[in-house]
Amino acid sequence: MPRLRFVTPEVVRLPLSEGDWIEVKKRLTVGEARQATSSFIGTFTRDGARTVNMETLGMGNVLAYLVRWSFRDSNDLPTTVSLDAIKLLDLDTYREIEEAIEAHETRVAMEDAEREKKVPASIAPGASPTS
Amino acid sequence: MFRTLTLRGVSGSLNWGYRSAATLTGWSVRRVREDDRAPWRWELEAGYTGPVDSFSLRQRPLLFTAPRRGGFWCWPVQTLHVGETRLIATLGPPEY
Repeated sequence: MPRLRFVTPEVVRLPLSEGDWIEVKKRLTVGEARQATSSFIGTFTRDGARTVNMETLGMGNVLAYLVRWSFRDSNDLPTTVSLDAIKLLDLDTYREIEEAIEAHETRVAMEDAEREKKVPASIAPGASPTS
Repeated sequence: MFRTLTLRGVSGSLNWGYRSAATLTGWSVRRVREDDRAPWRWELEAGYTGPVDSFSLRQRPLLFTAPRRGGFWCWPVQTLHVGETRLIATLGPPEY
């Protein structure tokens, strides 16, 4: 079967401390990744340089990955993931989420690297046809 | 015995995994069967708002979900026809 070039929406549950969890996308699409990286760009200056939006720096990546979480509000009601909700998290929780997502990204990158090693040389990208 | 039963709602969506393929408004799901021995069929008719993700609409499993008291309705979409303002789908048995 040829390689599937589109990202299938798979979800991975990552455990956090004290029994909480987050569910994240296994992989981002190129659109989601672009949106995440562009989210920290603030304004363009006259000379074309960009100023960084420190307020949301890094949050674009977290928001791009997050699908669901186990967090409940002070009324013990479930809460949905949004940028506004992320901004209201305490610092330790945000850091924990960021670290969990970074570790997840590393795991998926290692999985991808491992899979590429298993592709036979004859069909690996860049293999030249033999005469 | 009833041969048809109709559920109605004001909001719902068609989802492929975590991706929303279409946001629905004013939907109705009709449970019908031709006679007492025939299997039940579920038919969805709904309006939609905003752009639809035509790529995600072609993927399976595609689910129709809508909020209800205490949770969500959820049916798998079997066939789908998207018109200019409304869509029609046949659904499998409800999953939860």
